[in-house]
Amino acid sequence: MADENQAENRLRQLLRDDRWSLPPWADTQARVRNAAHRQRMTAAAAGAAAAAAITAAIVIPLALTGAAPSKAPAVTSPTSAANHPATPHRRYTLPPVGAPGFPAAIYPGPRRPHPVPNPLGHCPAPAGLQPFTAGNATTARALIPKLRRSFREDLRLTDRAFWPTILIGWQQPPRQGPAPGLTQRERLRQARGGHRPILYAGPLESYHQSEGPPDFTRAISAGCGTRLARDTWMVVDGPRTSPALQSEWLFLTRRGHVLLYYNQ
Amino acid sequence: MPGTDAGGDRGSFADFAAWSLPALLRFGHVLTGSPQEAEDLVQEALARCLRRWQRAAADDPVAYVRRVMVNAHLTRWRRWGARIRLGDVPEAAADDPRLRRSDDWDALRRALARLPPRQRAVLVLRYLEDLPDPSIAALLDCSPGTVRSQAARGLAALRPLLTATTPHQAGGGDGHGR
Repeated sequence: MADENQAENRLRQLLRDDRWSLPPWADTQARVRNAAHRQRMTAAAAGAAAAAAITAAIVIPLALTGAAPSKAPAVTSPTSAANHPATPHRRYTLPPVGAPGFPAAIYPGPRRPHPVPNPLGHCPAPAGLQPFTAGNATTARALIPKLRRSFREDLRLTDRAFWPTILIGWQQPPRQGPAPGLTQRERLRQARGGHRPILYAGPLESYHQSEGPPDFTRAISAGCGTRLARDTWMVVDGPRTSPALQSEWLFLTRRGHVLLYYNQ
Repeated sequence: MPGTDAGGDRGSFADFAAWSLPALLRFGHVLTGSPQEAEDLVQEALARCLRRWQRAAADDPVAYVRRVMVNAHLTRWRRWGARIRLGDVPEAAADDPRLRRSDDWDALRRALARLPPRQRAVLVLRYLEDLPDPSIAALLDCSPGTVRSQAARGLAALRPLLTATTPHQAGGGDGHGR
């Protein structure tokens, strides 16, 4: 018994040896944030793949049986803003290409990205893309607070490439309470419905992330083409003091319409 | 590792990460035996904690991160660790007299590398984190009896190393210990 205790104490002592210590990171926030980015991308890609599979499972039998796409279950109406994503048993469906209210010229079908590491599950179609203008930049900033009010409005404000993410977002229960990690002042501001400060608004290619990867310009160029990267407008918002809680918003302009195509 | 009552501003993930990082890195190092693997593990676990911060902060973020680290390590080991870890296996057993001549800490490090990862995790949680057996059992999703038997086997494997040191040698370890 004494031997047992001695062995256990010795083990405790050796496990607490300072040589097990490792130097703390100088860039903890950035490292963790980037790792969280990667995890979210992986999860989003898996979710998008699942959503695509589910959509295919619904649409293909409909097509084979000759059912008209317009007879698919209706999405929420704009007046249903009170029906938050939490609404139980609600079924959201994505309108097919060319459905009423979503002209194909503005909302064309997305493209598959090149098989490279890429945050986007789908690429926006290049058709009708236009360079960003100063006027569009204002529209892009004003678009952010309009999101998450109704499913249909979210679809209207976003490119089809982002629709699987929208769909998943509305199928999941909402987050309650203030976002984690905010300072007291930020919490108060959020509780009062205040906006998140804009930390960057400009062309994607001019954005230099101070905390390392992901390099959106390179990833989007490689995955979806240089034209999209060139014509993308980026907005970064969130608490300046908590990089982990900042969000990146990527916008495109198609035939005069500003559409969000990625958010993290 | 800071215990669950060790304080810290639970409202801020940044504060939590800064406050708990040294202990998490140490825990990861003892758990895996590799500084690089430990850093990867801590990074991934903290990232997952950040993504679920509200839930984790409401309960016990340290316990959450620790659980993620242990499970990720065991899963990783099951997937490809057995192959990768061949290089870590010490050339001699813990009861090899040659090891007794070497530094105790180094000998323990090498001996731990020979243990099955689950057994090692039990020892680390029990003797470094001082977790009670029921908590370890809950964390590893097994029974307290399994924890006790794993701990006994692990301790038995290390016993030659732990009891072979003279009082002088044991005291000498304090130069590096707490």
